[in-house]
Amino acid sequence: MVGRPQIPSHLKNNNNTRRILLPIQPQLPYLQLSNAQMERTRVVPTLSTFYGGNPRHDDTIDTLQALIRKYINLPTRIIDESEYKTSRFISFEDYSKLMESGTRLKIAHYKEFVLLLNRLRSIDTQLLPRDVSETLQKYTVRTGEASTTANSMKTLDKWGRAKAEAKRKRSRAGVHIVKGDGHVIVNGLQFTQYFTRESDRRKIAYPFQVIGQEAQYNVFARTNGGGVSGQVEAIMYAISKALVVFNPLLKPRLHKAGLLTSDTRKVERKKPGKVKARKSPTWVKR
Amino acid sequence: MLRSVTTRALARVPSRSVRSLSSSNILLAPKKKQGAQPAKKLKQGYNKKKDGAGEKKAKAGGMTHLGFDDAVRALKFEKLAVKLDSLEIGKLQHNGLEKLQQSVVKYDDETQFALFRLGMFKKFQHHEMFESPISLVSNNTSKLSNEFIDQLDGPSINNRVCLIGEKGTGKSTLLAQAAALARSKYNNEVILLHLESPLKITEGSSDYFFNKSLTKFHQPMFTKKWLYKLRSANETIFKKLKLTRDILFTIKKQEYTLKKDENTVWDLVYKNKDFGKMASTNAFQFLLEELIHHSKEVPVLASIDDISVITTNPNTAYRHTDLKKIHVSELEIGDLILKLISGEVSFSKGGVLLGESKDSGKDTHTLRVGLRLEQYDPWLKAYECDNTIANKFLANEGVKVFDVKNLSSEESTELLEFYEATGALKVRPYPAKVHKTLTAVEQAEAASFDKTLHFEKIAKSYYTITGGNPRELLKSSVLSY
Repeated sequence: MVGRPQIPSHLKNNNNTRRILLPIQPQLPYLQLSNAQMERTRVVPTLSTFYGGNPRHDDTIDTLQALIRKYINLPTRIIDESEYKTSRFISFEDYSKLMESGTRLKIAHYKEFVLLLNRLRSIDTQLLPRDVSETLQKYTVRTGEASTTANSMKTLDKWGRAKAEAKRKRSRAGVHIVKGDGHVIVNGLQFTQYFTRESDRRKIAYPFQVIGQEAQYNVFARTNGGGVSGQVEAIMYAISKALVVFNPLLKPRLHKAGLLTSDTRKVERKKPGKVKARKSPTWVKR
Repeated sequence: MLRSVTTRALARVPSRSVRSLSSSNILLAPKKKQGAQPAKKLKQGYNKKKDGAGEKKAKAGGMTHLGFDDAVRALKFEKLAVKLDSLEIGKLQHNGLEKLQQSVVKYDDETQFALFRLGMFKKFQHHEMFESPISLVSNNTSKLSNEFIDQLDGPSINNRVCLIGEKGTGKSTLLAQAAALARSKYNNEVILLHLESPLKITEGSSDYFFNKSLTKFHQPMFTKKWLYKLRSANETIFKKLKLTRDILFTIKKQEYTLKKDENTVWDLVYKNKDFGKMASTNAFQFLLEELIHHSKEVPVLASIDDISVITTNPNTAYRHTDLKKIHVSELEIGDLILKLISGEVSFSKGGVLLGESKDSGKDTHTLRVGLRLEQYDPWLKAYECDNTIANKFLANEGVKVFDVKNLSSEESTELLEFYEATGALKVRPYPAKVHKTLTAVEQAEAASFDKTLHFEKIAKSYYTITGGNPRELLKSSVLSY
């Protein structure tokens, strides 16, 4: 009797159900097979939404809706704007590539997708199930702010140095500071040799005065571009940033002293019809 | 009646003048007193007694025509300073120098006078801030004492040292300290030959005269002034040194003779006017030979500050008759300096101490090549590296280099403590606003002022700002001008 082809014993325990090839006798009298037997022989697609317009997208939507239905009774919360900024979901283009939909995926599909993800994200954080958080993580991407936040948590290097960079006008400065006794070297030269004006040296020492830790750090600065004042202030801002690496609690104090925000003023461009940025040529009555 | 008065009044008015509309002004004018004479013209007299010209008038303007920097020195600002005796400041001595380490010292009276006459206290050192010149005994002082002062018993050809360092590290101060230590070590029986700056011989401010026998140029004005200083500073020792030869010289057509073993070097320097004579003399060479002879018993410390003047620009402002510039080696004093540097002129006991200066204009390679800090580049031009002078430094095993370093943190703090004790440094709370939003405790904290803690912060802050440079430390902590 021709019956349903049996699954060989060595393949029975195989978890890879997709690749099981059942040997079918070449001369199967299929007209003698019943509907059930015929059912077993046809190729069944993996996705249940295979025959839809956007199989993968539809499958994703089904998965998300299933999760929502599963955890419908869990309390939800209102999501902050800052949380929207720090963690966003993948873009439409990335989703389209992931779904391998080409041009079939529309904005409306994407919006539906995001809506469902936001609904899942709104589940209370303390009760968020693991499968929901894993699903959300799969479709979440870090924004620039989040990456900045991650990168700003700098630490000391293996020699105990803090490194920071800053700029002012056209000048750029990079400094390494390390625990020491107050020596400053700029571009390989002594402090008094490179900055001959005392007011410039006082500006560079100002961040240490603000935090009350004078002569406790050695500074090695590299600077280029711009003029003397620009280089001085660039080093000053860089030292402030480097001090935050040593102790993040110093950040509010340095911020109040105006040392964490570089002065954004630049040389104003010259405009046509003017001699300089603002200066006009001599007015002649006639 | 009225008509006749009017007629007479109008007759007095010149016919060419503008006629007035009324005559009332003429009639009502006060009449001239009869017999009144015009005021006599005062005779200008210069007799103090009669005219009172000798009476001192209070000046309406300032006390002096000098600028502030020169005025504080000329008007003796140091008289208002805190007395150093109250601060128990020690005196700089060679014996027991280790105990004086990292402490502020002053000079004893005789040494201070000698150093003052030699011009070792510079204007930019601002000694007018204190009662008398002071200095800090730093690591540099101890090191120089070991490497130079202790070698003064040997020939000066083997004891030639050049002080180098960045601007304001204390090279000139170290020269003064070396002179003081030498006097202390030998109980003031040491000859100090100090030249404040070779600029005085190269800048062209003195006259010059060519001596055919010496083939060098005399500078009578400069030589005379310099010998005044040397004579004044070394008076005691000069009076002890007897001449080894007779010398004959003429003053106002009258001949004088100084006898050997009878007259002293002091007599030579005091009485002989040939040093300032615009003629070919060998007076200075005679003096030099006497000093070389006496250096067997009495060490001679020859110190020259601002040696960079010669190395950066060896061509002087003087010119030959063909308008070519005269090189410093062609001057008598310049030649002496170069011979001291090279060791051609060597004292049996003594040393040569040179001090670099960063104020001498654009630096050349001469000094660095001469001190072996740099390899000689044959492609360098003459104005970039003077071979003559560099070879003088390299002669006889070369001049030793002494790198003058900045003060350490402890030394800077010690110096600032002294400034604070003399009142030159003001330690006071920063006049910051106390915000109303602060709590009572925070306000009390902001209002409280711990002078000791604040001084420590100032000391550390100034150490960072100045890098331990003594000149910058003085400027930032003391001066507001």
